[in-house]
Amino acid sequence: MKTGSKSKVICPFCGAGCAFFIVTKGNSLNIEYISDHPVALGALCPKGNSSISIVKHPDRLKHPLVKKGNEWIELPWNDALNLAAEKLLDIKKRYGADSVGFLASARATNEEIYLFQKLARLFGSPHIDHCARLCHAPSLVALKDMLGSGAMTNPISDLANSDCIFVLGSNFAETHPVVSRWVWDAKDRGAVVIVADPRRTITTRIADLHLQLRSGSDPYLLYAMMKVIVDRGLCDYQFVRERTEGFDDLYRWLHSFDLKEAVEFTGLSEREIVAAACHYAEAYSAALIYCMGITQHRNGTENVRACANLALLCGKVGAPGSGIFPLRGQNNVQGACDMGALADYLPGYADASNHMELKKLSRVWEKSDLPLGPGYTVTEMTNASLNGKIKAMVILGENPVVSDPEASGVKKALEKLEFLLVIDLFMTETARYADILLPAACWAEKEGSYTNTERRVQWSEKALDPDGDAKPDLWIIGELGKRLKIWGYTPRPDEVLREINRVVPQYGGITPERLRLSKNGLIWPCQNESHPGTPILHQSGRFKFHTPQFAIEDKGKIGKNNIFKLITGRLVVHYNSGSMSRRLSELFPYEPIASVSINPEDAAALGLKNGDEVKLIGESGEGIFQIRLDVSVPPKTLFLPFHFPGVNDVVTVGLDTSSRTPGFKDAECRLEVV
Amino acid sequence: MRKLIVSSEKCVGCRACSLACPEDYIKIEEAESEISVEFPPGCDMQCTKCVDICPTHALTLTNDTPEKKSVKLWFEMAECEACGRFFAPKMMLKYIIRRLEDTGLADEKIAWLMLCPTCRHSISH
Amino acid sequence: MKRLLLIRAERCIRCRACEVACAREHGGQSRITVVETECIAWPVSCRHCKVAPCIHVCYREAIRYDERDMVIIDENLCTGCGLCELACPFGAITMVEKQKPSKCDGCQHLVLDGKTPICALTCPSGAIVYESIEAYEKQTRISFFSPVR
Repeated sequence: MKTGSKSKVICPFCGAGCAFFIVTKGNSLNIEYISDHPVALGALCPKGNSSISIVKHPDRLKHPLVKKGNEWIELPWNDALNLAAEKLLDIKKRYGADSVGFLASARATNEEIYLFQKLARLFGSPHIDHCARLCHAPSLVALKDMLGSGAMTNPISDLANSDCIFVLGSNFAETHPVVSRWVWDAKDRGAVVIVADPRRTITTRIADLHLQLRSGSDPYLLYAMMKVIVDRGLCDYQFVRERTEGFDDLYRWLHSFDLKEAVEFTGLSEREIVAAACHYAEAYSAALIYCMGITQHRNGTENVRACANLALLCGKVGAPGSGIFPLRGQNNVQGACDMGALADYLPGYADASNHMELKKLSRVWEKSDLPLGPGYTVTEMTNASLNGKIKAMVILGENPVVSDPEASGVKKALEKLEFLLVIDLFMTETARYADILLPAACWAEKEGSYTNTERRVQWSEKALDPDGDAKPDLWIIGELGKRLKIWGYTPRPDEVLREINRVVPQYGGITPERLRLSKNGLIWPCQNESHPGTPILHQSGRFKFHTPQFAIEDKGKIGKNNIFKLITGRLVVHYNSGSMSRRLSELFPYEPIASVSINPEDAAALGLKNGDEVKLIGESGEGIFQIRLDVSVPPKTLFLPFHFPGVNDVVTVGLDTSSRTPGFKDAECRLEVV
Repeated sequence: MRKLIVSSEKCVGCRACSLACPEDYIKIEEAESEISVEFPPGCDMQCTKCVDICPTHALTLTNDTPEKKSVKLWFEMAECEACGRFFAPKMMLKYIIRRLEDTGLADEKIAWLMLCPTCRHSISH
Repeated sequence: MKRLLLIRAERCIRCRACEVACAREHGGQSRITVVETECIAWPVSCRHCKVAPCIHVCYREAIRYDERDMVIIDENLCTGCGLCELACPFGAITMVEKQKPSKCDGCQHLVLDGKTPICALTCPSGAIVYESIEAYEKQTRISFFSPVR
């Protein structure tokens, strides 16, 4: 901790992992930009720029709170922690350790997340998960299976080296603004940018070719492109021969794939699809960027597999400018996955249902009988509470009441719990349901490592002490573990990272010393202390094609009886559940409420003007919203930003079977004029 | 007590004198489509801040006896051609045209003058 | 070679990082505004015109060019008349509380320390560039001659 000096921190918001200095002078904080930082050359989006206003925000929780009736009573730390441990041990005794669910934060440090999943598993519960389940779990499953690793393959700045950039289901100019620079740099060199999105967005403005496809028809687009590529002999045959397996099956499948039908289903023209296919295949180097528009479907995992199939078919993996870019959303969601805060994975992506892997971990943790996975995922935990199988939850810095689908069900689930422990910075919509609420230190008030979407692990320094009695998550988890009789001592970040070096192979050489000394962090895999890190993955090795298995469920309801397709997504000035961005006066005035965007023709047909209120009715919830006329939204489609409570009440969707991710983008709703 | 004389032809309705007066004697009142500047008939202070600061030399202070009543000048506000907001006294805009004419900046491109500063941001206007 | 604030409007993604950063740097009032239309967005701030209407209209000569040829308003000479706000064709001057003109000064206080204006520092897409025309042209030439294969 330093006063009157500067500390290097990693931005607390998205997965880009921008770094900057926090300069403290007395009580005031300022930002200094790091103009040679590899992710964004020092740039910060409006959220990063406002981040320092979170630190001293008046709404920050300052003391542990316990709920008595309808009131919150302040408690000293020792009492609060003792009470929480008592409750949890009591529930364990009466119902078993597997009646407790643990939700980790995707924005805590690696050390904190690692310790949290260790706490859960040593407590005896296999139910540990986090919000990656809601977004990129399909990437973890599909890419790990086909390529060996579920993560983004090249650094963000490497996009400038691409000759063709193919973007599917990503509005990166809104969600990861700093990516835009590199895409533009590529364009300045003459690269072709192709964006597939059912809407017109800020990102489609960059496109040379905007494929405005029917929402959800991405696999048809991808396989249509692959068929064109195979038929015209544009595959990278050498790559396919030397670096892949399973091409024959895919080839046979493509042979019987009906191109005309697929083209029609996407709503695109054959000419556009052929153009996209040829550009991507014939480019010397090509990048495939994708995000929620691909993963948040009931076919999410199959969609990611289709993306990987295309990249492998054209040999666009494992070289500068050629790679697969799933953009991760939180500043440490990559780390949270690496640390195994997942229902189906142990640290380092070992299978949580594999006895050998559990035995290996047992030896390091010196405890036998680790719980066998897979445990409940984020949405399954809340369902399990409704079914009486989960009796208690520990939620670390997550806001499922806002970010999970069927939010009304989530609220009932949390109410039904016998005990809910929440650890957070603010009284979020989820924190209101807590029995005990513990105040956490924010990112600037603690030190630790964060892993960005590029697999870059960076050390974030502590800039100042928290006001009031807020404590770093690491301390809270450590102290809770002591009282749960799991361990006898609360470790410091360095010590936890050293254990991570031993347990997570990809982090083998990412030691505290190396991290602190490194200018720009270390990119995993980094197996030992002399390894320099691996910016570009898959430069060698063999990969597997996947034979497609998907079916699109088109219930054919859209368009009739005012049923609309409902797409939820992000706005640049807000961040995820909005618990921070809705509190910052620098940000929320730009977008103070959740307006539902509707095509002007649809609005006119219903006699609606800008600002009118409508009721959106989903299968298990509804809400009233103001409309905004927007030509960029296709007909019979609505767009709602999910940063506000009440939006996900309207969303009821099924899960992707492989990754158990909710198909947010499949949502539909009925619109009623109010 | 000195007499304050204001020339209704020269005053353009800017606020410089009102801001300059240390005793807040000159009052600005904003109505919907008009703005008024009320000048006291005389001033008991010794400074000449208002006289010095006026862009058009519309104010004079003499040693004569002040009139009984204050002088209130009304200025019609110009409407922005794009958004319709009343954004400036027409006299101020006329003054600006005169000043820019001398420099050759005022030609047919002066169309932007009838837009309020916010609407001037947008190229479509 | 004097460095200017160059705007590459096609790169603007209307994220408003420039507005937030400028406001933080200047006591809460941003001197740059992002304007958005249906197909394009771009940041508007003082263009530091070579022939500046604001300079001509200021009867106190409170507005002048500094060593960087940037247009700077001298607060000490300013009378708060508001003529400059009306004289700017770009609407780049705002009279704060109807008495103090607020306008981009090219982050004079930062540049004197050898730093870069804050909007250029923070723009995530590189739409605002603080560079001399010569250096910028050189960068563009290099880009042009390392094209895609």
